[in-house]
Amino acid sequence: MQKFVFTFLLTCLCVVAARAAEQPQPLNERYAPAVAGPSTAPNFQRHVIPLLGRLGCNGRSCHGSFQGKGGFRLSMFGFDFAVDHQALLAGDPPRVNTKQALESLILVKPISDDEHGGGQRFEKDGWEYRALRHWIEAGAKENSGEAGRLVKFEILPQEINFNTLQQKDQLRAVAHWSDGTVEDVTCLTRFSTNDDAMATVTANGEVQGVGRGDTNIICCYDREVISVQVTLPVSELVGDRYPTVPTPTRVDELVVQKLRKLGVVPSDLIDDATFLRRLSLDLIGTLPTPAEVQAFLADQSSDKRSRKIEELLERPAYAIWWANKLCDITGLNAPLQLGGTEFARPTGDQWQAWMERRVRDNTPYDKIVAGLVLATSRRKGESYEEFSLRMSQYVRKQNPVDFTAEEFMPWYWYRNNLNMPEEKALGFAYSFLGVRLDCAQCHKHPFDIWTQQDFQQFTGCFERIRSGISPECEPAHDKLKADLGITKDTTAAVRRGLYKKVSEAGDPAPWREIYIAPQADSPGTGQPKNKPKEFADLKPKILGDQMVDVGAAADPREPLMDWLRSSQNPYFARAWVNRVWAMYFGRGIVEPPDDLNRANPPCNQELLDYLANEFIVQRFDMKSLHRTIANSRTYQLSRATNATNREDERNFSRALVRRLPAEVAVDALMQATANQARMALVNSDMKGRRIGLQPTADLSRTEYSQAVFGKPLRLVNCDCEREAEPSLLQSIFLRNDGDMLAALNRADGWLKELAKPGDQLTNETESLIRNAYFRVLSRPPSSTELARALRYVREAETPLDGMSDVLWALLNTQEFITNH
Amino acid sequence: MRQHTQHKSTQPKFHRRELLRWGVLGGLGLTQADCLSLAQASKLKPRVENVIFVLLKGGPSHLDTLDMKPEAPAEERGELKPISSAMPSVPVCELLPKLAKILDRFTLIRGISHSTGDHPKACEYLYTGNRPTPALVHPAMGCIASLERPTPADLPAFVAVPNTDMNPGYLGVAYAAFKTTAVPKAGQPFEVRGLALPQGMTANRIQQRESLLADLDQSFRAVDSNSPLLAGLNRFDQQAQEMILAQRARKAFDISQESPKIVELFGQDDGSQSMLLASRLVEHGVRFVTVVLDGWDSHLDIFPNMRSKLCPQFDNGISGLMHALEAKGLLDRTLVVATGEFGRTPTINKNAGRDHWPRAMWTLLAGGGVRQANLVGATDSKGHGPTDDTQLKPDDLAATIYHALGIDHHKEYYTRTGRPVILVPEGQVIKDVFS
Repeated sequence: MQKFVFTFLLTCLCVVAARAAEQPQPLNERYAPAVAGPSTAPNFQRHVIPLLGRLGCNGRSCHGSFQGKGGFRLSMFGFDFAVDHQALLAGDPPRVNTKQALESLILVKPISDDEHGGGQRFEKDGWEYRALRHWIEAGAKENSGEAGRLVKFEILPQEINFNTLQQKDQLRAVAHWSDGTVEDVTCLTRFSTNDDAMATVTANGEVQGVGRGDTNIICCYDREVISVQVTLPVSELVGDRYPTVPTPTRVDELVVQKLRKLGVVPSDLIDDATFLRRLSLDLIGTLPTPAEVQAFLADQSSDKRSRKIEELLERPAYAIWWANKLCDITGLNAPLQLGGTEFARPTGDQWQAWMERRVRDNTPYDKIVAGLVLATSRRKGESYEEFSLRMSQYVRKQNPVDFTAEEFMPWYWYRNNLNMPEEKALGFAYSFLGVRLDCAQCHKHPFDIWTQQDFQQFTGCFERIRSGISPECEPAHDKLKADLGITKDTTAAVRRGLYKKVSEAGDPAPWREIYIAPQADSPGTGQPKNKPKEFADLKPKILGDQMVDVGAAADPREPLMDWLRSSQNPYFARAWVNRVWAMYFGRGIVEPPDDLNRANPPCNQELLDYLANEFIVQRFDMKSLHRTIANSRTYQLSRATNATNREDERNFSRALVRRLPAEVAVDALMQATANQARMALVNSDMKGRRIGLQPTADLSRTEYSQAVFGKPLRLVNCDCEREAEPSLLQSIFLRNDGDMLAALNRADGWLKELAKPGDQLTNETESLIRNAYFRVLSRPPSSTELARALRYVREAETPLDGMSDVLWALLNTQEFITNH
Repeated sequence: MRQHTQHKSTQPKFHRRELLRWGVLGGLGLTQADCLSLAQASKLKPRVENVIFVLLKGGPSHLDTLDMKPEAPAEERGELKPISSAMPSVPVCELLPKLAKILDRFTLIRGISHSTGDHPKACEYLYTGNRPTPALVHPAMGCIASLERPTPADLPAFVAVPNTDMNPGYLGVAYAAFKTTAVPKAGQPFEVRGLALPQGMTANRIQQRESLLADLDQSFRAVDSNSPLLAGLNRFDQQAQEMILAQRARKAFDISQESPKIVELFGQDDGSQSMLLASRLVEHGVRFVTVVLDGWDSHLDIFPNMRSKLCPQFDNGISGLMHALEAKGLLDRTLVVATGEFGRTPTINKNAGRDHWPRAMWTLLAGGGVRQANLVGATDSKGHGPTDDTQLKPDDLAATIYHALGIDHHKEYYTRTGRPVILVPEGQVIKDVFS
């Protein structure tokens, strides 16, 4: 209630301040039926378009759809003022009739006087009607340029904390324009809720708490989108009544700070065995070995968890698993994406090895990204002859030169699906910003500030990146091909075979390159197609308010990279820390983790800010980020719910159960069933590990288990391409697939090792069952479980059959296939 | 924070609640009324219960099969001769005599045309009714069918014999095809991946093993972690267990249990046996079956290939299938589709083959509600492309198949990124196909 009063006062103050400076009245007051003809006409950008937006006219199911509706089309979600103005003034009869204002269709239709597919949108002589009418009577001007720029958009209150159900609060929206005008635009703002089971909002911005928990109200005006967090505690345990909860790290403090508002108490800490299993699967994509579990359980020191984190960070599997993640988001798929290089396989291997080395060496994240983003193939001053010879040294059969020592890794820009500048812009934004720009390619982004113009300008940053052979190298390239006997008639298969032979011998082959064209319209692969006319003359510009003239740079990627790694960048560090967080918790602070947009705010802003700032302060040190997360108490919470957090799955008050990722699942299956000799090598020998495998060209060529558990082909700009959900085929696979049974019974498997002639067991059954538990579930069996399994083996036809079924059963538990 | 009313993680994400949580609906300016109209979009009455989709993979030459042009110049018309068929106006290749005899059971659509000359992309187009784009993988019709017309738990809704590239796209793996990965052999028991009982394994031992599993997983399941994922796992584990133990699924796949009367309708070749399996699967209630007859990509020596393998296999298979469905009384409730992903070039190349030709292809439809002895669309006199008044695309074919299944092809779905997508935005149900 206190908050409520405070908000009210604040609002009053605002209004008073605005009045004092002779600021315009809100539109709904200015044109209220009782008020006689106001003097200034509504402004097209500030009032008319937002009003049409609020009425839903330019929504995608109405006139905003690309086909329009009833022969009338507006730009979707507004922001193409010239086009919209033209559309409004056109038509027969005209939608806006300046001579006979009252005949205008935009007045007649929405009051339903004339047939209107969208029904009645406002009352005749209501304020909306009167405002539009006045705009028309004043000449229906576009007021191009007069509106100025929206410099600030604020919503008051900035946060709503309800105490009881059905409580209400009113939002106010205030626009600050570049000419100093400050206007209450509540009546022109579009309000929506992210969860109507938590809070509802009326068209006028009145919020009501209808469920316990938290959500956001999204407020849109002009190009701006702002969210307001709404909370309503789920229990009595708020304020002073909140119990003492340990918060050993800053992460824990920030998490609990939010939980305290909600009356949610975190779950308990997990036991050592659960911790080790969870950490190993998350940090190195690998199950702990039985020996490791036993040693960890026996260790009595109090810092063993953080020492274990340090230990795992130094394992080879750490580098492979996180390189896999980096290759996921940067889209490595050699057969599909690198065909243009003529050397798909070796270049794909180079890409992956380059990534693994950097993760192993803990190269700062920004430096890794710079190695991709700033890559050109030829070194400064290197001739094509030198280049084509050097590249072959990396793939030659004898003593190949180590590619991973190269500072730059050019194959990213080679990706077949990053050919056009638009594709580069979309892919880049997805990979390194965690931003989805796709919407803005064709219309104003409905949940974010991006306009089509922003997208076109951003795309301009990528127009000069080319793949192929630069004009200056063409003569040397052609000569090399001629020397190799390649003619127009040589088939692709022969050509590739020859290139392979030549390069593997360490001789110059006609390698292609990534280079920067002098101008956007220079010919070459990656040259932009014709842009829409209205965007043809726009200068390239980096996303966001800050104007960075990329056009002037010798290499447009340099200012782009400078912007990425600057501490002011709102996306770069956040996108990565949020993705890493999501890998540990099964859910991002922003969720989905690759969709940072204004209408999808973080569930805990302070937490995301803290992690991102730390990451920047620590100079993009990835291991340090892992330490911060894994050492937090929050990461080590149990999945067991309590009375307050049972319904919470977005505030990290308990662990969420996750299915093992495809590669990790199959590796775990193979490890759990491996013989002792193989088990001893698990942490040193990475050969055959699925976490290190690249995707194939299509699912039918992918190992069946990998396809079933959803290994991504890395073709789509979405983290969701990696399947995390269960399916029927997965359940059938684990129960009864030929591959699964073959893994159990393989020659170098554990079961084979157990078999003595006559299907007897080599060891005492009890110790074997214990071992099976450590192998599969990374914990000792309880006494009940042990007794049950023992009884089963005893009653089985042969002891080996019995052990085989015990192992099968453990592998089919939900405990095995999930990380918990 | 949110109440779980259902297993979120196992359902495709387009419930209103879910969408609102992402701010999708609000942001897109959809009103509640719009949402309801979306939800009600698919109140079509299904014409069929099942679909058998036969892909002649690689692209059959339209000019040498069901769109022959005897008057075309010699270098184009090829060496195969037309014979008359049960549809007097439609001469058929001499290598398809059995099909010729029953052609009056079908609607033959000629002159379907597109511009995608690459196999996987053309297949994707055909399967989804959407021209492929790098931005998004659309779900194929078998996956949509298993979402919209689910089947009982102990039987998969969508089965591919032996494999398919029909992918679930944004629906996720829960709607992927159940692939047999192998083709049944005549007269032999057919056991499919994951359903066959391993050697020496008895139903009794499986049950004991399952009960051991239930006991060993008990302590884990006893913890209340309110997890939609575990709820989904429960459901699928249960279903898998039923499928492996129950007779129905294994029986549905085992063609050796088929009656001799039906078996004798089919040839011994892989194609025919696949068709036999398909008829058996729909009989047992599988919603959507794809059969792939491979090898039609004849860039070399097209005529010997057609003579020795391609045509006999298709001829035996499709005629066997039609007779079997009739004999089983299933034809009225099954839609049969047979098509390639494109046609082949009118000009015979220097290797005595024909290359890819997406400008003209044909499709055969038969079964529930489809008109008989019906010719739709046409190609020009040389078969180079559709006639001017034939405007048929893969989009229309997809819309037509969805229509038969009672699925509104304009239904709207949401991708995992919250983007709204209409199922087949550009397609129209092809006129004159249904009676």
